[in-house]
Order: sequence, then C-alpha cells, then structure tokens
Amino acid sequence: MAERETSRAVDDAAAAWAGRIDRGPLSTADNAELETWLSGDPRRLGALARAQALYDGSDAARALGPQFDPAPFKAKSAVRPSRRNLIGWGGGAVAAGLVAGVGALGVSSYGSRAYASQRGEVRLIPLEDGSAITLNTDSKIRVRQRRVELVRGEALFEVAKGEQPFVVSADALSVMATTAAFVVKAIAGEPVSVVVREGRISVTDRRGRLQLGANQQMDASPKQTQVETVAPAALVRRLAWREGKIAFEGETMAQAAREFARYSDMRLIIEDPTLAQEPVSGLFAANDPVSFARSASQAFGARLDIEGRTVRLGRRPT
Amino acid sequence: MAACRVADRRLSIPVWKVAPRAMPAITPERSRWFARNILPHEHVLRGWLNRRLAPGLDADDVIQEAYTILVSKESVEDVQNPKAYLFQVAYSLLVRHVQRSRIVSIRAVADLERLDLPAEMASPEQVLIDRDELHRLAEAIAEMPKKTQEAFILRRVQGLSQREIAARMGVSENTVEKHIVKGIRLLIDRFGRGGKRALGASRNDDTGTSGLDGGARDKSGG
Repeated sequence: MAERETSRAVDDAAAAWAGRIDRGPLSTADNAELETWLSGDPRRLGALARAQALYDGSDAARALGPQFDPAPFKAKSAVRPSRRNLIGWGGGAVAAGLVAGVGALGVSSYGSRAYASQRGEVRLIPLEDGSAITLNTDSKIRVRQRRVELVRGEALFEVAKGEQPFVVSADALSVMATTAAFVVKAIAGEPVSVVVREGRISVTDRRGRLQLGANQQMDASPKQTQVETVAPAALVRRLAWREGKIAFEGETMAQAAREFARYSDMRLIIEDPTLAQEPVSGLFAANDPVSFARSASQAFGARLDIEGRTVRLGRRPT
Repeated sequence: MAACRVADRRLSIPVWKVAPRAMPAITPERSRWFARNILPHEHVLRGWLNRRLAPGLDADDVIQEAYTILVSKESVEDVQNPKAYLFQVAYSLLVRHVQRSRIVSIRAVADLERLDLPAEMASPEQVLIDRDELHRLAEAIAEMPKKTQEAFILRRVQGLSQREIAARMGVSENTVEKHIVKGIRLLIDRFGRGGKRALGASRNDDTGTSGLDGGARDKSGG
C-alpha cells in the first residue's frame, strides 16, 4: 500500500476547500479539481463535510454581537472576565447597564435608597459595607444599610461580612446571611426563589425557617415550599444573566420566549403549538431574541418573520 | 498467541462501500442533518474507537471515512437513530481494516465480535445548541492569530463576504481565504480531533460520555 496521507493532512486540505467554497461559487476548473481530490481517498469527503459543518456552526458567532471583543476570552487564567470586559457581550443595553455607578433612583423618607434596572439592563450596586448587589433585568430594590427589599425582579447578593446580619426580603419571604452569595428572584405569577452559590443562609417563609447551603434552591409559593439541590453547572447557567446571556437547558420554546420577554421589548411569538413544546438548549445573548429565533428556525426548520418589534416563528409552508 | 490469521469471519454487518461518485456536493440539508445528528457524537465515537483500534489505524481515519459514507448516503430519511448508525458504520470500517491488515491480535478480533455500543443509544435529538456553544466559540476565536481573528470575526460575527473583508482589511482575497481556511482548521482542531465536543453537542451526550469514556479508557491503559 502506498504511503497513506495522514488524517491530519486530509483535514488540512478539507479546511482549504471549505475556505475556498466559502469565498464564492467554484469555477468549473475548481469543481473538477475538487472532484479529483474527493475521489482520491475515501476519507476526504467526510473530512470536508466535517469542516463545512463546523464552519457553518460557527455562524452562531453572530450572536456575539457586532461589538464582540475576543480579548476577555483569550486568557486561560480561569479568572472570570471582569465586568468591564463583559461589556463585549451582547452590546448596547447590557453595556449601558454595567456602568457600575451608584446612581440612586430616589431617596425615600425612611433613609432607604431605591435602585432599579431597565429592561435588558444588568446593574451592579456596590454597598458601603463591601457587599455587592447585581440587579438582573427589570428589577427594583430598596436598600437601607444591610437590609434590602427586593421589590421585583431578580438580584444576586454577594454579602461581605459585617456586624449586622444581611437581610433580604421579597414577598412573604426573608433571607438572613452573614457572608454568602445568593440569588433571589421574585417575578409576578411565579414562586419566589432563592438559590445559594456560596455560604449558608437562613430563610424564613410562611411555613417557617430553614437553612440553605451552597447549591441549594428553594421555591416558595403560597401553596408550598420546595427545596432542591442544584448542580454546579446549572447554577452557572442560572447566573448567565450577569454576562448578558440567557442559558437554556431543555426548556420549551414557549418558556424560552417568555424568558426573552424579560430582557427586551422584542416580542417572540411561536405560532406553531408543536414548535412551542420543542426543547432548547444553548447560551444566547439576552438582548438579542432575533439571533435566538434565527438559530431556532434553523434548528427546527421553522419559518421566521420579523416585523418591527415582533418576531414570529411558525411552521414552514409546505 | 499474540497474533493469528484472520480467515473467514462471519460478520453480519456489511461493509459499506463508497461508490465512485460524480457529484461530490454536500447539500445544505445534508450538512445540517450531519451537524445536528452526527457531529455531536464525534467525541464519544473517538473514545469508543480508541479502545478498539488495530495497529496502524487512527481514530480520525475511521471517523473521516465514516463521515464520507454518511454524507454520500442517498437518503437519510430511514436513519432512525443517527448515533447508532454512525457507530455501525464506524464499526464496519474497523472490521474492514482488520480484515485487510490480516495480522491482528486475537483480542482485537474478539473485541470486534461484540458491537457493544454505548448504552444510551436511544438518544432522540432533543437538544440542539450546546449551552456553552457561544462561549466556546468566543474562546476559539480569541485563540486565533490576530489577522486570522480579524478576518474570521468580520466573516462570522459581522457577516461580511470574503471580498468585502479583503477591501476592509486592505489585503487580497487570497489572503482573506487563507485566514478563513486557517480559522476553519483551528475549529477542526478545537472541536474535532482535540477531543472537545463539537459545536452542537447536546447535554445528553455529555452525561453519556462521562460514564462511557472515563472508566473504559482507564482499563485499556493497564
């Protein structure tokens, strides 16, 4: 048998062809050359298929947004990108929100300050005691020293040690911590949820008090209180919003559309009920439902219509 | 007793033949099917192959050839379980290589007798886009050499054509093509043979893989 070309060399040539095909339609001579190349070894077509599929898949990079800056992703330093770097993600609205000012929304007569985030905005609020609060989209809090009321929305609390316990109240629930990092979410029509990332907290709700440790989640509705363990990876996904992203893991398209509605005034309407039940996974720019819809339309072969601030996904006409 | 001659082996799985083909084009539909149903399993397949390889054969040879067979197939409509199909094709290729090489270790043959496919074979293609996809893609782009990165971002993030990029960067179209080729090559290394999961790999695989690869690979090492 003649010296066999290595699989690596096959990949090199496959990449070259994929790049040439990407440039534009092949000339007749190119086509002939490609055919000759392909027929020369049974691995080549497969390698080309892979090269093209990977390259096509990289089209998802559009979701990185026009202001994408690769620099923060380079370092293998394992340190998560600084907030400043994260501005690269998803562009405008998020970037605006990350300007970490302590611009108070208003000072109430009780000496508490209110802070709110716009839709599509992520906002960091450093407190004097060294604690930090990150507000997710469309959220509002009132802060008075180490007492915080979550009026609506979702926030991450990174509590620094202090003389007083740090207390967060939301709806009929209150959380107490000395040092911990946790998320509280209070969205109308949903159970109030608390997830602990680090440390221990004590939660009091209508039914009593309990302790939660890292990776534990509690959902409290008027009817019931539920505690479950969250996998570390799932917790990371739950916090993707801090980077201006939304992570799905098997949610239905309908749920995904509702989630996107929290982050922008773009409306995502799924017209086909079967499609609405399809599960999705992925990481998406929170303020870019159009990219999401585009990926979904490709993946499910659905029709995509964009009209002003409305995106419709439906069955493809047959 | 390390090696023996392989005579007539009764192997029930036919060896796929690649018919000489006039038209090599991969249709966009096939490419999508391939990206969605086949590529995500490459990582598992490579691990599986690595434990069954005959000497002188590398997993990537088999993978590339298996892909050729899958994209040349006239229709994939009858493929109910693409993952199982992929493994069967790869398996048949292994068998063929074993037969060709004539001298093989008994163990390799014995191993091949059982097509013990990964347990979670019944994987409905439930999920599409890996949750980390964007992040990993961003990392892959970040690792590219500067000019390649610039061209790649203009092409993939901004959506310019190679010609437009040439004008924008003030270089020739050939140069842009070279950068894109380099970018593609890096994607192959990163998401293909590097062992990292392909773009589009699903969560299902993830769990399947850990159970499958980890233990068995350790065993073969000893």
